Order: sequence, then C-alpha cells, then structure tokens
Amino acid sequence: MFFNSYEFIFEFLPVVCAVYFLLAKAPRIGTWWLVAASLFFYSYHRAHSLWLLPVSILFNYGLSLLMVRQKRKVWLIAGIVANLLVLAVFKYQVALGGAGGTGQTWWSALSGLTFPLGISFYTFSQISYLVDTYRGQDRPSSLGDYALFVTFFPHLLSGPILRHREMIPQFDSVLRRRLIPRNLARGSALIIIGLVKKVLIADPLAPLVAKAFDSTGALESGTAWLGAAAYTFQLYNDFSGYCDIAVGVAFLFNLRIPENFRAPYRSVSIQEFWRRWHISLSNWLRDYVYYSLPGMRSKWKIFPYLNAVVTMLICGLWHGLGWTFLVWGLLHGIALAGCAYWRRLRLHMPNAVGWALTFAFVSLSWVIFRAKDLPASLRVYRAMFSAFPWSPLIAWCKTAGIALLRHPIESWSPETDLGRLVLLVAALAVAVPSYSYVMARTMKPTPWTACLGAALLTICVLRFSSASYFLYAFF
Amino acid sequence: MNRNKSRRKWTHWCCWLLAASFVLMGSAAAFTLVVDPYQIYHPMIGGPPRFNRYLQRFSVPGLARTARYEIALAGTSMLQNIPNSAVERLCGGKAVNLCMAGASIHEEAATLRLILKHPGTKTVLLTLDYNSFSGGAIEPVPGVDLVFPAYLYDDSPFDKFPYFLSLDSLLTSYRDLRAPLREGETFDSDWPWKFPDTMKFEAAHAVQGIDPHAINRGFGMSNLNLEPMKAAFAANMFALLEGNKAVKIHFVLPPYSILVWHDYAQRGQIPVYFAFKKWLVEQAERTGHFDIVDYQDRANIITNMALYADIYHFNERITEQLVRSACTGDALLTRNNFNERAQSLLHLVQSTDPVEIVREARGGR
Repeated sequence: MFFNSYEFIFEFLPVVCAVYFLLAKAPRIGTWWLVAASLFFYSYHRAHSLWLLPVSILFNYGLSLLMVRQKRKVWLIAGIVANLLVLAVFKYQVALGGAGGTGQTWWSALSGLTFPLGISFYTFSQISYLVDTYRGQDRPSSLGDYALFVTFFPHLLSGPILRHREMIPQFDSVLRRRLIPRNLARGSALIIIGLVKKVLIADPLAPLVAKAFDSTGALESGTAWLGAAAYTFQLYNDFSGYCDIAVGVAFLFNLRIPENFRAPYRSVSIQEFWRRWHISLSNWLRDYVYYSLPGMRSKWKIFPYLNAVVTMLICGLWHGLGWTFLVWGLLHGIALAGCAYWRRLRLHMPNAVGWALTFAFVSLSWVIFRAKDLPASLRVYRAMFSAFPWSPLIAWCKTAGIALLRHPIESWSPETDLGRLVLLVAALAVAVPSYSYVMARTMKPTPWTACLGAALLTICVLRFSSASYFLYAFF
Repeated sequence: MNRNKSRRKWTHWCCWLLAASFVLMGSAAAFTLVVDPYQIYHPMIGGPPRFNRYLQRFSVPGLARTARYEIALAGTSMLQNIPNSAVERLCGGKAVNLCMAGASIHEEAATLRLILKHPGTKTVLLTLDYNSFSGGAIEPVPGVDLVFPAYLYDDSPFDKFPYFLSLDSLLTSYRDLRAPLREGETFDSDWPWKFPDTMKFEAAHAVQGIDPHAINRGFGMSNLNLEPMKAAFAANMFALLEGNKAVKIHFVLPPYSILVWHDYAQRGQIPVYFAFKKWLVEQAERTGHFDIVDYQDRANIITNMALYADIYHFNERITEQLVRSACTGDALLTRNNFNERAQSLLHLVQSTDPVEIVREARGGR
C-alpha cells in the first residue's frame, strides 16, 4: 500500500489509528495490532514476498538473544553476512541474472524471486541493531517491540532507517497510548506537506524527466537541461515527501521518527549536503561503515579520504547493482574527500559560491543516478553541453524559467508545461526559509491553517487517481 | 490551565481540518455523483451523455448497469460498429452496445458479469477474439494501453474513490455539462461506438502497410498456446456461465479477413486456434450454457478485402449479418460441423496466396 492512495488515507490509516487508541489499555495487544497492520500494509500489493520479513525478524531477534548470552564476534559476522546475502540474493539477482534472462549464471535459478519492497531499509535497520547489541550499546527488547521496530508501516517501504535504541523507549512510554491533539495536528500537517510534495510537485515533473531520460530520439540541449533539473526536484520532493508522511503518520501514534531531510539543496558544501540528505542513511554509513573501515587511526592521512570514497561506493551499491550507481557513489566519494581536504587546508569559499558549486554538482550527478546505464547518461550529458558556447547557467535559466514566460499560451501542453511551471515553483521553494519539520513544529493552530491544509489535502486526494509509486520504494 | 487551553486549541484545529476536508471533498464527490458522467448510478443529469471512444472502458460499466436493454453486444471492437436500432430491428428487443476495443478476456468477463446482473437482460452477444487471450487470465492485451478501471466493474462501495474523488471525474463532469464535443466524442446514444471516418472499408485501405511475407510485423501480436488459453477462459468465464440459467449467451467468432489466417499460418498458430475452438465447442455442448456463432469460414466475406478497413475489422453490413445469425440461431458451430468447417477454412488458406491478395487489393500494384 502506498501513502498516496485512497485506501491508505480513507480506510487503512483511520482504522489502524482508531483501533490502536481503543486498545490503549492493552498495550501488548496494541503493539501486535500495529505489527499485523504493518504486515497487511506491506503485503497489500506484493503478498508473495511477505514471508521474508517475519523470517528476517525472527532470525535477527534470535541472533541478538544469542549474542547477549555468548558475546562472540562470530555471531555478529554470521548475522551481517546472512543479512547482506539475503539483500544480495533478493535485490541484486534482478541485475545479475533475472532481468538479463541469459539463463547462464547460477543467479538465473533465482530469477523467479521478486524484489521485496523496502528490503534495503529493513535489512540495514536490523544490521545496525545487531552491531549495537554486540557493542553493548543496545539490548534486546520483547519480540513484539522488535517486530514493531522493524515493520512499523510508516518507515517500512522507504525509510528512514531506524535505530532500535531510539524507538524501543518510545514503545514503552505510557504517553504513547493517549490521543494527543497536538501530535495529531502536527502529524496531519506533515502528511499534507508530504502529499503536496509528492502529488503536486514530484509527479507533474515526471513527464519532463521521462522526456529527457527515456526517449530514444535525438535529445535537444534544452530538453536535457530541463530533464536534469526536473529530476533534481522530482527525486527530492518524492523522497522527502515520503519521509514527511512517514514522520507525520508516526506522530499520529505519538512516535518520533528521525527527520530524514533538512533542506539539502541549500547546502553550501557536499559534506553539508550529506548531513541534510537522506540523513538516516548517511548516519548509518558513517557509524557502521566509515568508522569501521581500517586506517582511521593510522598515521597515514590518506585513509579518511579513501574511506570516504569507499563509503560512498557502498552507498551507491546500496541503491542498486549497476555502473550508474557505482559511478555516482564514486563521484560523491571523491567530492566528499575533496571537500574534506579543502577544509583541512583551511581555505575559505564564499557561501554563495559554495552553494552554487554544490547544487551544480549534485544536480549533474543525479543524471548518472537516474539514467538506465552509462551510455544513456552520457547521451544526456552530451545533449546538455552541446549548447556550448552558451554557458550552462544561461541554458538553465532559459529553459527552466524564461522559456516558460515566453511560451505562447495557445500552445500550452498540460503534460510538459505543467511540469515547467511546477519546476519553477519547486526551484523557488528551495529559497523558502523553513522546511517541513520546522513548518509543522511552528504551525499555529488557527482555523485558517486548518482550512488551508484541508484545501491542499483535497487537491492531493483529487490527484490520487493519477498518482505514481514513490521512487525510493524500489531501492 | 494553559495545558488544557492548548489541548483545546489543537483539538479545534483537528476538527476544523476534518470538517473543511469533509466539505471540500464531499462537494467534489457530490458534484460527480449528481452528474455521474459515466452513468454508474443513474442516467446522466444536466445534458445528454457523451460517448468517448477513448474512454469506452469507463462508459461500459455505467451503460451495463443503468441503460434499459434486453440484448447486449459486448467484447472487442468486432461488434461495436452497429447502431442499437439495427440490433433491435434484427433481434427484437432493446439493445445496448458494450464493446471495447482491444478487450482482454478478463475485461470481457467483467462486462459480462454486469450484463448478467442487469435485470432485463435476455440475450448477450459476446465476441471471442483470439488476441483477447494474449494477456493471459488477468493482464490486458499487450500493446493496448487503455486504462481499465476495475473499480467501476465491481460491486464494492469501498473502492469507488477514484471515481468520486478524482480530478479527472470532476473535469469530465464539468466538461460534459459545458464543453463542446471533442475528437472521438459523440452524443449519439444509438451508435455510440461507430468507427471513425478515417476507417475506410476499401481493399487498398485494408492492406495498407501490410507485408504479405510477415503480416504480423506491423501488429506485433503474441503467439499463444492452447493450455493458457483454456485456463484463461475457464478462470474468467466458467463461473459466470454456470451461474447463469436465464440469459442466452452467444459467443461470436468474428470473420477476420483471410490475411489474418495467413498471419496465423505464418506463425504456426492455426492448430492452436483450431484446437481452442474445438475445446470451446465441447464446453458449449457439455454445459449447455452458451453457443458459438462462427463466421470464420465464410469465403465470400473473408476473401473480399473490400469489406474490411484493416485485416481484422469488417463493415457494418457484416456485423448486421452476424447479429442476425446469432439471434436466429444459424451459423452455429457444433461438434457435428466442426471438422467440415475447419477443413473448409484451412482449404481457403492453402488455396490463396497472401502476396497475390495484397497485390490485388492494391489494384494490381
């Protein structure tokens, strides 16, 4: 089930919420009710991959109990290897054997398996739990709480990646079972903001993106620039929209899920970008990969830079097994290492220049992330820069903004021109001083804000019939 | 005190949000429900209903539910090009046309279910196209990218949100009341799915773009196998047919032009099709729930390319003949005449040359 669907907004969410608060006096049953609801939510579209989730939960929970009894590294290694193996088999078999259909590799024997949604997210959550338990930073909870930590439906499909030790104390809190109007209001506000991002911004940009990335004919410079810009904002609004809804839904249950985005396109360096973009993954990679790599305490100063590159390569691979993700990760790794070196040299860069460079780098690197393979990304890059000697900045302004204003109204095409308009709005929205979490936190409880929320919610709901999947559901 | 005040404020905010959402969404839903552009709950209010050939799949369930009829024509586009008045004249009874271009067997069954639920239905003519099976039991026909709104075909009240709460429905309702007709639309409820004028029934037009050596090249139709076809038919139709006692159901096997049979021959599909037809005849006789009207071996029709707009679609005079035959019960395919008619069709295929047919249709060029 997806957040941007009628059945979620009108059927699933109200029923789950109502029953949950009715069960306030029976907390154990309430927990299992949420687990059951989450499994239903998960299996709504793909019931055949449901079995993997309980198996994975039982395996990791059992292993954590074992680690508490016998603190042996072999259990941790076995757990990590098993989780990564499952991830590799289910996530990467499509890339290696299934989709290719060559029938030559042993992977092809697994081609009947289908990609279980959210596998990357719940696998990483559980790996962090195993590591923390081994390090003694965490201890096993009850099976019900653990199952809820993994399956809790707001974060199950596309994150954020949760930490066991952050969630379990909240599950135990008695406050959680009361209906708190302020949380209900803030949660609703975040859900509406998330839906606006997804349905009214990300989805209308999709035709512009498809025109640049999925067309087979000759690609014009303007179309390529427009497609790259549109994807920059589509991906952000799609994914951050999902996370806003996830945080908002958790709020309804009086639970705090960590925020995953903090206006990343306002970053003035690539390091700052990764502190603001997909924060839960960045933190996970920092804590469990970057600091675990060898050489961090070595006298060789190159190791931190090298490890940044390796970490970002893993980040690329986490998104999928393909050269595009690998190269994208490599580019970001190099950029992070370069940025760290720049800081070490104590060189100064004006914020405006830093922002422009960061935004340009991130936008350009999304091209390779979105393209279906490397030649396809080169095709887009070639088209983008074929407009030289125009500077790319002029081309960007021309296509994204001025072209829209000059566009004759009689040749208005709802598909692409709506996209242009939305692109302009999305680009301007980067300059909004606040972001969704802050907006929800500082919102005033006036009838006007409620009516504005209702109007936006209605517009989003009316667009549900043509809404699409969330992009990160398939990572 | 302050805490209570704050709690009250936020409670009010939630109530305002709920109330305002209810009013706004309720208004949108009420407008669509009152106009009901696809006539799902009642005949359209505020003007004559319009029929858009690109939105057949949206109009069909409404017509099947709320139109007044005794005879229903359904299935693929093969039977769509005939006025209801002609059907009424030929079969005696109020008729409705519920065909949809490129229908899959699943889509046909969904329509048939609604027809059988309609209290006035006495007769159903349902085309059974070979290509309807190319999506298997559930999937749409490959290459047909028309949306099938399954929620309009079932009886659940909980899945109708995409109809009531959709910008598309809202705009369609508004346009149906205010806007002039657009390309592909008509107010003609007697002949709602008339083929467009661009479909010319001329031999030269019918073979346009056809490569007689590889006829399927321009169409890209899938090759089928017998067992999946039987399974798709059984999964979609058996329960409906066996649950039905009162309504006469005629499956119509449309007379494709001889070039279609040459295409099947080129792809080795004739044995599959014949085996499926034979199995269908056995099912018809075993269950007694339906019969099969077959025009596929009519040499005077299928070899005359001047009757076709393309290699599949024939003109309305042939459609009228088919409808008449179905209502009078002639041209039935039975176990007794199956072999003879199959041989006759096979002979036609073997004794004609697609290159020659195409050349002739192009006026000797």
